[in-house]
Amino acid sequence: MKKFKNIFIVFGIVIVLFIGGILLFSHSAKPKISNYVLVNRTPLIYPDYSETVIPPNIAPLNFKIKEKGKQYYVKIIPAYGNPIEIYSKGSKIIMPMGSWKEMLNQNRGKKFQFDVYVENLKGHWQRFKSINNWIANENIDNYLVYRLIHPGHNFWGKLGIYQRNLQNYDEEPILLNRITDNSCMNCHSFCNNDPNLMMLHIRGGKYGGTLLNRWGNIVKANTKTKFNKAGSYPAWHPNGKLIAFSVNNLLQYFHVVGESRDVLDRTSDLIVYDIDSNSITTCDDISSPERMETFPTWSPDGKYLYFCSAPKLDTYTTIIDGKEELLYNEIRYDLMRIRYYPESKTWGKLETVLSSAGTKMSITEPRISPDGRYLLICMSDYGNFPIYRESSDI
Amino acid sequence: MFSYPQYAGVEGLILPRELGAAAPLLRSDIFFELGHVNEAQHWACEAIAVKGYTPSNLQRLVQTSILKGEYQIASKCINMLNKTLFYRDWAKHYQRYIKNKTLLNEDKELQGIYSLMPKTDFIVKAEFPIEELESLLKSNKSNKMAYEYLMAHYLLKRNVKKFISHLEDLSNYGYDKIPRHYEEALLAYLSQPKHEPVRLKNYKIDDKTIKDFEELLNILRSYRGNKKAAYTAIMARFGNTYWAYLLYS
Repeated sequence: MKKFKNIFIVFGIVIVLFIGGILLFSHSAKPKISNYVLVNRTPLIYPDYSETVIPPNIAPLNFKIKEKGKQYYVKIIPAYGNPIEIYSKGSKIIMPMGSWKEMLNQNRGKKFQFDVYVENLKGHWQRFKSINNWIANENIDNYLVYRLIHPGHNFWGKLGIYQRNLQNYDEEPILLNRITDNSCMNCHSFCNNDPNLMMLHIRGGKYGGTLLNRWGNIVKANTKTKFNKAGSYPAWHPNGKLIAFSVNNLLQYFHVVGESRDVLDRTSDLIVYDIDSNSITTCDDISSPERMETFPTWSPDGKYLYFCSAPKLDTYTTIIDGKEELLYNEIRYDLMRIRYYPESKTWGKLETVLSSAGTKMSITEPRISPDGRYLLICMSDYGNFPIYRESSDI
Repeated sequence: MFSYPQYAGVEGLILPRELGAAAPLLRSDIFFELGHVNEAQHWACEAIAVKGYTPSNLQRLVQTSILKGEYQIASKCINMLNKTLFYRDWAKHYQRYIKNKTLLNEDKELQGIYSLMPKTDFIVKAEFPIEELESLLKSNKSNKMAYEYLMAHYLLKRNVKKFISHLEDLSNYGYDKIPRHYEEALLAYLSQPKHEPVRLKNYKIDDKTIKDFEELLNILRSYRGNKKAAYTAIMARFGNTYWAYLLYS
């Protein structure tokens, strides 16, 4: 028995030494940077965290330095408190969670900078111009919800709606399609960013429909009627009782050169779903057969429904060499809005907010800031699917 | 081609889109060889969605991404393959292409595909890719595979008129002689009472094919033109010809 005890002790010492060795050698020793050359530009980093304003509760902005080197040193200098120093043999800069959070908390509303040093392949240290960023006073919502899916175009396998904790990168599923017969799902939306008022779409199969969660009471609604297909892009009215939907008859198509994926609507209209009465309404101005209306979004006061619309698809067809061709790259959407009176559930005047004739670009995916002061839109050279259009890049 | 029964018709040429979910990489293979790299990449992505990040799916994504100059995607897939035991060497080979883009010029396979890639955009139709094949040819007249698939499509569709209109382009594709099935289709066309003249520059129909055609007509005549009655005799002698397909398929 004593012999076994000794073996355990020796074995334990070996393990401690081994782990100690790993810890000792994995932390690269702090390099002495007594001499360095100043480089008159900021370093290339990915993602490009420069000149940004970040929320004070955001997870560490880890990045990769896209400069060739043997080792790297980054000093994060806040307005108040101690700098954070990171040494790395590799170009990935991973920030310590505790120090990062402390720095953000102490420096709300203040600037901070990344000072990046790179030892180049000749063994000379370079110091780049500082990268500046700012910390906002206000926290961001803790969670971001998204669909996680493989980059298929028509087919899918495993997918789900997930949430990510923006404070620490933790990710967890809300709903996985393995429990819904592998169905497709998406179009998740919250009322006033409140997780108690949420909806998402499950597409096809026996689970298909619009799932509505209102304070834990989950029901499945069918927004399809004799007059309309089921709703697609949703927008909760701030009163939590109505959801505006677009109803799209879409076509996915593919290009042969450049980015392959593209989508257009053959037709589209807007409808409004009244949750309590389980009924659908619309009006001529948001479901005109002469126009394709899509991307609804409410003003935070609930008085206006903003959306995008373009002339009907036939407008863009022409005859070339005896064949009917669709001039898909001339389809451009205008930004519209219409007054809404929630008490009487009636509609007011339709207005053009921003015309594509003026911008010469297609306007899509409007979002209004919670305080109602700002409106965010995508603009691309054509169409209503800006995600892969380079012209829509910021 | 007609030595085998063509039960599936034109759908036997390229796996139909509906069946693509069962074997997406097979659909990608054909588009890849055709130089239709966007569609090859599209179906490699479908393969990943349906079958996961298998080495073959990742390999195709690497190849198509390198051809399209999308090095970040290629790099990501190479990193995944680098972590495997059996595909590490392959990954290391293609990793060199990302660091040194001129190496693509020395890769015979990829360079061959690259030379076929269309330079001007057109839209892929969801239906059988007949318009794509025509557009691929319009975009690159030396795309022999696109030409052969297009001709095979016309033959299977019994669209002899369209077939004949493209037959005159034969000399663009380096054929020593007219392929046998093309000769068979041509003779069938020329035997029609109303046909346009066909100009085949330096090609002539093989004497044996002409003899065979005469023999086929004689068999049909001996059955007084009753092709149903002549079935056994014709299939025994000419079962592997386009004529048999025209008569009985």
